[in-house]
Amino acid sequence: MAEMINLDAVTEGLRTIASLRNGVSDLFKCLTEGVGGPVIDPYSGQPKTSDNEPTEEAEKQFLADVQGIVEGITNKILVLEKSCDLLSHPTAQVSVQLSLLAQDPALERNGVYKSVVSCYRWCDRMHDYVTQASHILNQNICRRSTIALDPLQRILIPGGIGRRSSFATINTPSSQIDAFFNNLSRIHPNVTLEISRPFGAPTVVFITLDRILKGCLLLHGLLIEWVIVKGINEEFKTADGTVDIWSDSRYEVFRKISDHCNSATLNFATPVHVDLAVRSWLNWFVNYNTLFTKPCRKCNHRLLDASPPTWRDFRTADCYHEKCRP
Amino acid sequence: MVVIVQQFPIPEGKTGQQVVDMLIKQFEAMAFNRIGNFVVDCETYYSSPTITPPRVLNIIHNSDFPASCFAQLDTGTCLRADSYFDAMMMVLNGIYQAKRGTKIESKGPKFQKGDFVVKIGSVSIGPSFRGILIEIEYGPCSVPLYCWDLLKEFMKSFMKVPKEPPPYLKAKMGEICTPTDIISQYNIHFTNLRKATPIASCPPPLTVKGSSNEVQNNGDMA
Repeated sequence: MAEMINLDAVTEGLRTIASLRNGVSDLFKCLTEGVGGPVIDPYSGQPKTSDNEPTEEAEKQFLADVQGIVEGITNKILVLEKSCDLLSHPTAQVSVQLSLLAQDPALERNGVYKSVVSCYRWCDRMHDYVTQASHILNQNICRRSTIALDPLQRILIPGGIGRRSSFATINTPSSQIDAFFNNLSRIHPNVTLEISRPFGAPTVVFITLDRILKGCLLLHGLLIEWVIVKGINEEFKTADGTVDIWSDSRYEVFRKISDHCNSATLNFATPVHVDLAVRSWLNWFVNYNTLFTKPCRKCNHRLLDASPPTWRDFRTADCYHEKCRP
Repeated sequence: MVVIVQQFPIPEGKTGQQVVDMLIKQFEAMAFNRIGNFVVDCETYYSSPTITPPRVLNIIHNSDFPASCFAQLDTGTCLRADSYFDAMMMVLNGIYQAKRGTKIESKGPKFQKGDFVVKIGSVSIGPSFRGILIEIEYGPCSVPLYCWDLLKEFMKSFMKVPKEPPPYLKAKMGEICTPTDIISQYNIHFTNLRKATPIASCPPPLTVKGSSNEVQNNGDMA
């Protein structure tokens, strides 16, 4: 339908309208000024104080001016009408289209109703799924990011996040860690736990197991990151009082046990129940209280290559030499 | 560390030097690493008659503790002091006097296997050979009770194992072992060996790198 419009006629018509408006404003201007020029001074806004009566000539002139302008206007209207005639008449067709829009759609001819219904169902189902999923996800505490600690989110979800363990993130407050280790030391009477934070946030726990050995745990939150084991007569602190968590024990036995402890850390680690990982690790570590006394379960000897059985089984806690391990 | 000092019996018909050589050979065969030499020496001082009851003071140096000097009375009281204590004994000359020719020393090679250190010491007073002392040290453990079985198993590989721990150690089985305990054990053995009859065959004196105590003492005196 667009190609039927005569663009030249439209342009001509618009131009004519512009000049028509120009002509009309000229007419009004002329009429305002009246006979013999403007009665009111356009600059000062005050009426002119001339007592001269308008002459006859002036009146004639005025009438001729008005007549000329009116003629021009009439001509322009004729031109406009002509250009309007040149245009086609799409109005009738447009009205038809509009009436179609207003009609009730026939179901069999367009699938709008069907689509709307399926869309509604889809939305409804999605809403159901989302409700279910959010319920399940809120019960699950597997969160690796710190987003869960966002205070805004806590406000949004009333009653907090349904978390069973409060140690799930690395941002566990130090007071909670202290309380956790206090509880642990109550469970194991032959273990002394000393907590210090020489590096700021990370916790360093010094474990003294009876009079057998000493251990140093470096924790990130409650995640064990590094373990070092030394003899009871060795120190973790250097002469100037700083904590040295990297240097190995001077004894072969404890260097070996440090390795085993680090592998046990990996064995017991779980991203969800971090506190449980530490607890099971310590339960396993306590088995080293028989380091020098218990013979190897396999060879029934205490010494193999001048070393006592340094390996403790993760499940059964049986002791083995490294070479006798099952 | 737990240290046990044992006298190594010399079978009849063998000289002390032969036994020491045999032990060295055996240790080398058992893949022990030789890590140098050691010396423990002991000088005896007697109190002047003005002190009642009379006391015997043993001044002991151990090359494993080069900066220390141990002074042990016959009552068992042991003092662990800096090596300058020797100079002080010179000042105390009027109260405690050294008896000439009583200096006894145990010296010989040191071996290591794993965390065990074994020292073979030939004991002599001057030129007179008195016997062999074997010192077994286990570093990782500090309480003798825990590692007595372990030590027995280790000793079994090269010497006759006593059924019971030596009386000195037996009294301290549950305590943490200190260097004083090593000195005390040496002192007990030295006292016994002094009384024993000298054995004719004296092994040639070994050149000991760590035996700088005497030199230091002389320096102090000067």
